[in-house]
Amino acid sequence: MMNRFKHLIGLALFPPLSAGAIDFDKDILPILEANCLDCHDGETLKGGVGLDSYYYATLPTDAGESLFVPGKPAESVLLHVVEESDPEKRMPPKGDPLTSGEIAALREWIDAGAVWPDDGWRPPLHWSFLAPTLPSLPEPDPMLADRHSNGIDYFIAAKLSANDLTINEETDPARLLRRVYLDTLGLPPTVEQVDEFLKNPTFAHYTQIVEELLSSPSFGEKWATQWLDLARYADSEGYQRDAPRNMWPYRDWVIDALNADMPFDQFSIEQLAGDLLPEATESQRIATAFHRNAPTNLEAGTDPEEDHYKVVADRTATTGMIWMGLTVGCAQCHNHKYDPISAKEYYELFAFFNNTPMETKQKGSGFGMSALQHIGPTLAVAQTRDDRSFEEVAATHYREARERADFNLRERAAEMIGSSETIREALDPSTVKLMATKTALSNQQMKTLQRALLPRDTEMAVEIEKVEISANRLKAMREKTVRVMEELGETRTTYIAKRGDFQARGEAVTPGTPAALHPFPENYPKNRLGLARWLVDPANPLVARTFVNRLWIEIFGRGLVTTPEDFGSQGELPTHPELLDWLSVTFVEKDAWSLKKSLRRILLSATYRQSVSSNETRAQKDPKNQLLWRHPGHRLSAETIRDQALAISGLLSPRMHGPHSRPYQPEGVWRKTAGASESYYIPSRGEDAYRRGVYTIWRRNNHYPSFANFDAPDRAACVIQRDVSNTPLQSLTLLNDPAFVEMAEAFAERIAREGGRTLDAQVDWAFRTALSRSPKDSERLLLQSAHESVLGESGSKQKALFELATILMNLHESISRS
Amino acid sequence: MTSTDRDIMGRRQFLTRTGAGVGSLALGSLLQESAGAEAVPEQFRRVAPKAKSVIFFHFTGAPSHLDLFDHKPVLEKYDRQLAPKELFEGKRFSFLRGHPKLLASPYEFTKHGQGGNELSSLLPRLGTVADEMCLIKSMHTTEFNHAPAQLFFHTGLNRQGNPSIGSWTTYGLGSESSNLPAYVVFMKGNTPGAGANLWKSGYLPSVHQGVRLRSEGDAVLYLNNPEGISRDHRRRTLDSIEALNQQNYELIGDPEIQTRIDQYEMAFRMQASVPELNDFSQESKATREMYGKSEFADQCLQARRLVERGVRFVELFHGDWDTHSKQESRLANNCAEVDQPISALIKDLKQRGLLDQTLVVWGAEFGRTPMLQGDDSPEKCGRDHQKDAFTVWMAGGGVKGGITYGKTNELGNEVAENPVEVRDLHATILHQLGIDHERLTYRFQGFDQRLTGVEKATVLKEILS
Repeated sequence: MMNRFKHLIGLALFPPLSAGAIDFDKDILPILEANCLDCHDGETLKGGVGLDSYYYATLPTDAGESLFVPGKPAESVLLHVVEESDPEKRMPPKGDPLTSGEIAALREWIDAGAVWPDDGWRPPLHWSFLAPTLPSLPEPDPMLADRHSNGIDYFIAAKLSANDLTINEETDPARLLRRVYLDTLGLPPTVEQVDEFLKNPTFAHYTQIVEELLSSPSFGEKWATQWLDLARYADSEGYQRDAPRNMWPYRDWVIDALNADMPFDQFSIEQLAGDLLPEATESQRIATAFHRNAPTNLEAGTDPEEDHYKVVADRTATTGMIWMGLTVGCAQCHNHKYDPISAKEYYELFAFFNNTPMETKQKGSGFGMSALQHIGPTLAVAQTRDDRSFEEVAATHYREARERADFNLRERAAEMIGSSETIREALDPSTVKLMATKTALSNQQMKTLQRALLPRDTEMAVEIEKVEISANRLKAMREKTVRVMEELGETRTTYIAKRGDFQARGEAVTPGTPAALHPFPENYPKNRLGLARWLVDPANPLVARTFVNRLWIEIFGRGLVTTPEDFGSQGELPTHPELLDWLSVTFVEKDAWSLKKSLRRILLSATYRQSVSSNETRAQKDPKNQLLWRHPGHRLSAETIRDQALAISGLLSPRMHGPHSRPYQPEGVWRKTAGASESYYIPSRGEDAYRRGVYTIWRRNNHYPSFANFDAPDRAACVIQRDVSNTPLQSLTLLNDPAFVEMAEAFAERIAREGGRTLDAQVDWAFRTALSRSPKDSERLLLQSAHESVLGESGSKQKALFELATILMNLHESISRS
Repeated sequence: MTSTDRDIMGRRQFLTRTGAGVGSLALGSLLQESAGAEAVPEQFRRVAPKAKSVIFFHFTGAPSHLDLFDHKPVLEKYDRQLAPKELFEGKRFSFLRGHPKLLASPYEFTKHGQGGNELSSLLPRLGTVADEMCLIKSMHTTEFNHAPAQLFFHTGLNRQGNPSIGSWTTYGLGSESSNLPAYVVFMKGNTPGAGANLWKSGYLPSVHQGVRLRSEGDAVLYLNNPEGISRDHRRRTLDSIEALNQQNYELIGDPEIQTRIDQYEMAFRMQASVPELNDFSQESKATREMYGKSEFADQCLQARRLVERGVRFVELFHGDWDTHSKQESRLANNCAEVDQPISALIKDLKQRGLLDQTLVVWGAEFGRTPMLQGDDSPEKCGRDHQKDAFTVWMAGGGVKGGITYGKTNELGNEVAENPVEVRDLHATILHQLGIDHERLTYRFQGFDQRLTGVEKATVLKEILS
């Protein structure tokens, strides 16, 4: 800090001063030094005010105000606070107020133009703000001989070697195969697929399998999860109303784009600004649903302007986290405390997203619990044959539910009236007319009749409400739509919202990008399209690093930067900086932004293929395994745990795409919420209940319980890395959730059907189906005796196999990659 | 590795993200056995804890402070007359439009006990414990719609995705129970608008989320074994699972496997300890009668049983208090339902010597306007949402009883004295638990996040005994 002053004092940058004029160095600086720097130096920055450098002094304060306005003492906050009469509010807060002479000097200085000589000091550039360059590969370590290593391993081995560690032995082929299946498809290999590999467990064969896996359509279903967490994709609005919203065409777009290996720069541009591309295709417009995934508050009485501000702020923060690895959201209320992003720059970024139409409006006016209504741009999407088949199922479901309700209602009504003439005579003529209707009653008619005749029959009321929910679902499918982005013709002015309060308008700003990052090319339009291109400009020092870091997280469970949402100065330093840069540059230059190419390199590395087994000596040197001396096995995601159980039980539906599915969950998990829609959960029937987790309904306020228990986020906001907890609720879920119990039962039936004739064969087959590898003798014995004990007690082979299935599906190894 | 190393690593592994060392200790005690007071991490402590547990009531929809706690005689004078312009001009309301009228409270207010806390005739039994209560009449918030305001009241922020005060508490202090969740949630009536976000752990590790005790089906979701599986059978299944997990651990050495074994054991214990909560056969007749007979009364009694068993944070949601219309009948019904059980709970805790170590909090997302909403008639009228002034109260846990803190203006629409921010309330609750709110941090998105946020929060020293 003092260095800065030396620097400043040594500079002769002062403009020529007229005689008697205020001298900043001589007259102003000493006042500030003596009175202000305890709280307002470049370290403490109280209230966002720093008075020891040109850089901080000229930034707006946390409140979004300028400290001094050249030539206008009356508008200068600096002067207001020292002249304040209330000692509670006056600066400095302790000690004597400034003398009148000192105040006069400040006033005169501001009057004369408030010239603060630029000392040239700027916050030092953090490593992540410097563009990565391709580091040269370290010499291959001898420990990598005969390990089919690649560039990744050179970096890993060099660091291990420097720390007196070595890479683990190669994992056994069965575990390797399960690992790579789960990492690419999110599904385990079958016993036959394992056998096929075991016949010829060579690196060449492995490479060929990786190739096949990367081109499987299941790849997109697995890898979509990570992106959908970032995109906060959900099937409901969030907040109190939490109404259903139709966004699934976007989810399918992500799956398809990943399967097609759409280069990440294009993948980004289409999602951020597909609508602004010349002659945008339907697919490119669907992609823009990415930012329409932000939660919306449709609670009655909400101010649509406030909602708009919140939604745009969400888009700004999400964009910052994904493509810049920065917590730009911090600058919503004040200058970023640690990274070079001022509140003004935040709102310049915000302005790129502020030019979209309003998305909500009050339904009606005045009192009435009328909710807000969604009015944002929506795209009707062309239907496919698949869509129509989903629709047929929903239509059948709806018809059946309606007929049943109609029948039950009439029956109960008749029962209630009985043969009583008194009741019959007392009935309202419209009710009598409804009862006499020969044709099917409409939903509204059913409601009216129920309320008139059976007002206390809640069971009937719920049944009718469920019919209505089914009707709405069917309607949504028939009008296949998705919310998209659209640009307003006329520019909406963006103002700095002081302290993040959207009503406290500060200075107006225009779209712009933070000065500390790469320049915004002049030929780019100042709109979302320009922003998108700027974000995926190879000159962006952060885009590739954050991308490959996320890739690393998905495979190794932790990033090379362990704070993936923050590459800024408060984030952790990379464990392997050269490797991170090598992967980043390679991803952009060599792989041309291809996820699959970069992923293939990781999957083929010796680092990936090594064993998970631990060792006391090594564990002492690097207890957290930060240097990767072993493969860090870790727990599977919520969706993969379910998908795997579906796969091994044989229940898994291969159906891709389409509206969300609703796997079984107990009654009463969804409960009535005041002012909310859809209080009742109607489970999917048939095949639809057994689709992959990526298709499971994502309701923000009522998250599917087993997913919530296994740390799947509710997607109210962008999540870069999921938590991985280990709780008793997880044990209860795997043991007792009726969905998992059903899968265990189906698995037991499969063991009986496909596992062979002898118990030995059945145990082996079941074990290998669940875990790919063969059981050790001790494991086999244990399972056999568990089976025998239940068989002996119950006399039921079915129960004994169910025991076997339950045990296997509950093992730590089953819900982990090892 | 020695077993101690392994334990420490096991605990550490809960936190798969780095840089939260302190939390990992608290977390360990949350789920592992024998966590006593000594497990409370020093870093968070500043003062000796007064309270060990919190019972946190949230009245969803927002009760009218003007009809329950904050008596405004001036309103009686101007009942159903046009409101002065300063009450609504330039302010935002959810539903009030045009020029609204004022609405007096139809209830009588009486001073109770030695401290003279004033309560309306809707809460006669609470009057008998008024000397335990500290009324805070000067609460205010920033949000005037339910979901954002509920989120703000629970998490300090108006958006979804942040940890609730219950999660922060268990993150800070862990649990003293090895067979019950540390943070338990009850609901009576509608689910609050912000849903599970109110008891979720946000960016804190998900072990800190509240666990809902349900009154239908399994008390804890998936607590009961599938049909036909006895407890003995389940024990044997778990023995097999654990034996196989143990073999895997010996091969791989991953401490997460040990934790997994512990979690299956805790699940098994929960299967016995959770149903026991609802078994009131050991409660005396007098106790049962004191609480009364209703779903909410049972929940209040269970709350006492939970804190007795070392559960750290119990939250009870009660809805629906959103009285835009038909306020008179709705308030009367709601108050009749909660008055007896809550006063019984306070007496019961006191009798057992638990009140000193249990902080009871009555809260809501905001208050209601002195302006009338809807139809003029007493049967139909109601009040709109009000963010600028409302009442909460606390009892026990080292808070002074029989006092009132803060004041609103004549009409009860703004704070006149000693304003209390939601973050002040949070800081005070944590303080009573022995936690320094400025030190209770969790690293996320590059920051040491706090429940009380970046702006200054003040512990309400004046109300502490």
